[in-house]
Amino acid sequence: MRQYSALQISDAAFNYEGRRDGWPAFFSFAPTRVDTVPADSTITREHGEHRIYWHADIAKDTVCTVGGCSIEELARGRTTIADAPVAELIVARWFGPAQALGEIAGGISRLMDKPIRVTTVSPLTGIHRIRDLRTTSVLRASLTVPSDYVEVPWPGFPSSSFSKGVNLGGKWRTVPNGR
Amino acid sequence: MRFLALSLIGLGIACSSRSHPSLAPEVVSVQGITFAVDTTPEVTPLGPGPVRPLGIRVTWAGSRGRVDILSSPLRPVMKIGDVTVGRSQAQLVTSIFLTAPGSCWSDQR
Repeated sequence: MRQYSALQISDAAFNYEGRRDGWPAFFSFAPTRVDTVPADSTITREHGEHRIYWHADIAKDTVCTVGGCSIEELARGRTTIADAPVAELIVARWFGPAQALGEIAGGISRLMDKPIRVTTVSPLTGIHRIRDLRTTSVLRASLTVPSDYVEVPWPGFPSSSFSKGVNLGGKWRTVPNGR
Repeated sequence: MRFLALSLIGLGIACSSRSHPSLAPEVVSVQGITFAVDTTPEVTPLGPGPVRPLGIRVTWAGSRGRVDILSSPLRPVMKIGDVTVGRSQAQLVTSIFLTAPGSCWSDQR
């Protein structure tokens, strides 16, 4: 049986003016300590609210790494996931930047082949370079959940946790509008 | 309220314009953008140990987004400070269905 799970974005916003709306005054950094835990540990079922702060930039320095970089800011934003396993941030952190690039004024033609960098600050922080940015024709059906997929809660979540108020996932089976 | 659905899909969606021979292209498709996340070590900080980025392709079109998991590095469950990182369900499925991506959907309406 093919399955999918849903999670809720409780807050999301972005802007193209460089504003840090809704961001904390500063991010605290601490030394990292890494432990490997057994895959079947109950700790892997931990979940909670996660806040993602991100910005997308064009890196003007080809040798730039972290800090001291000459950049052109493209967009800044935030996304709050109401309740999810931490690991899902690995994919959830891309939705804000994707929308911002997709809706940027004038389109992305001037951004193609530029060294675009996306920084995401969350329980999983990363600096990523994107490549092969281009416009494309997307099949509407590829943006929907196929009818034979069944919604299930995330591992460790109660069975009552899925699709609250969203028509039991029905919205994901609807072909999106737009040009 | 906005919702994001993560699918545990292991198979691509077998749709093409040939599936809708009587429909105009704009009916079956929508214009959007797509990009890939560069995972080459030269440009992407790998993080401590096996914390490495997924190989993904991101698409945004028609008010929705989609992330296709193209590759997933093998890594154990890790505890980094107070944060425990397990295997994403998308990663898990991708690891099972190596020939096809996992996917995610986002609805911003």
